[in-house]
Amino acid sequence: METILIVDDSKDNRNLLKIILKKHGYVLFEAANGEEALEIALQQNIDLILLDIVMPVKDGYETCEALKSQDVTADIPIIFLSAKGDAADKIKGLKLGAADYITKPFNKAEVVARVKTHLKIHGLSRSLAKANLELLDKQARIEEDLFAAAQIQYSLIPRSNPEITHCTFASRFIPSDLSGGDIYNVHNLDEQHTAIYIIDVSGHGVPAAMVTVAVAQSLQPHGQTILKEPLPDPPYYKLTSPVEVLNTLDKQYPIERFDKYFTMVYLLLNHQTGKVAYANAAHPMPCIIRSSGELELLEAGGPIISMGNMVPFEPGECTLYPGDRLYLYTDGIVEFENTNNEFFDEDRLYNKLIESRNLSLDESCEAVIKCLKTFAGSIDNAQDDITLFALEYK
Amino acid sequence: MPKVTVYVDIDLEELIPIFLNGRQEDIVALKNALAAKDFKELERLGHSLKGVGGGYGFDFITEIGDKIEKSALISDGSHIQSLIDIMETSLDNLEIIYED
Repeated sequence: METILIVDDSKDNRNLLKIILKKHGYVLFEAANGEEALEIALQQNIDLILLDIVMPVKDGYETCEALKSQDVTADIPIIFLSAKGDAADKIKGLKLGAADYITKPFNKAEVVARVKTHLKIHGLSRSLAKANLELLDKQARIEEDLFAAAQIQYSLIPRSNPEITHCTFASRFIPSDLSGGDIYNVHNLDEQHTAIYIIDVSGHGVPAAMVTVAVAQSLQPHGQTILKEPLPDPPYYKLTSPVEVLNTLDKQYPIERFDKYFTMVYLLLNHQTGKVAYANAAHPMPCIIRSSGELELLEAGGPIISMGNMVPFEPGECTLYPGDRLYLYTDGIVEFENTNNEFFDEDRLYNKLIESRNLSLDESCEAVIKCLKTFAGSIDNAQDDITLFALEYK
Repeated sequence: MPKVTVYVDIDLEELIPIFLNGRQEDIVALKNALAAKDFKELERLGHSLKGVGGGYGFDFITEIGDKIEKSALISDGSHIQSLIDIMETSLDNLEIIYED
């Protein structure tokens, strides 16, 4: 039951208030002066204080100030009770933080009504404060989870440029706040062949990160890998074709499994001959900038992974010659929308890549990011990961 | 002196003896303060009476208290004297009716 502290130097007034309030089931404490009131308020769990103003030694205003200055008692609602009745006195009391003001001689019904109202308001504001704290706590935990998911995702991305014969690599990866599910990687499969892939998992946060991890696991080159099929005779393995890699992933990740889909390009590069076999599951087309400066798109396509192979993946082929550059990226770049509601788009990207032909591979990636930043104003609140991965064939 | 009738909430019945006792003490205090010409004290006593009377149903005490307070502010000792007399007489001729 709610607890009320009655502070008045007049015993008659305290008795009167006690009789009135006891009837309504409140637990009551009384104090004859400001000092006693402070002591009780600090020791007991007081829900409301009825506070006289004209008291010797420490008057009601001073007592109110003292109560408001201490954390423990600052939130307790105070109703001033006083024979002083000018507007100025009332305003002074309210300015000091009192919740209400009742003039004496008071009306019994009025006292009860105001006490009930302020106890209710106080109860509601305490519930609100509690709910807010719980919400903040939950929010903090969600943010921790998102951060952890992002960390897991980033751990799947190569820290340094891989060392593959005949190839130089460069990359730019700018993750969004919400962990966007982009990954890319390069794996040596044998002496001649290198697997390269880029993936964009739908959605954000923990679910996307979990699928990203699972897919990356499927694509690692050792042990139980989908990138090589074991054979009974030498050389005891066969490299899985890009189309077959996508088909396998499509079977392993139907939409019903995780309610997620992903886009992906998988390329198999024979780094001795420069021949590339590839397949594309609805991902932005990789582009080649030839040493001549010409742009060529890898156009073989297919549906997103998760659709159960309703539409087949097209097998793609091309050859890289020394000086050619291959760029892979995710839609976080081309679908970047600026404040004028314009999209960055493929044209800006392609033009920048062509323009940067004479810069180093790494500088060309930097040039794209700079161009994106200029277009966007700021990429701090990017909605999606920004991923660009480049290879130059030597 | 005709009876002075006050209507008091039945819930307060048990407090009335303490209340009336307190008012007798106030009368003594008022007389002492007046004799000493302590108008500050008279103002305080008047203010206190103003605050306590009506809550118990004793509206006349609130009125007297208010007048004593105002008279004390202008140091009107003779008016205060007559107010004390009225209060004393009224309390001597009290009729309390308890109501719900």
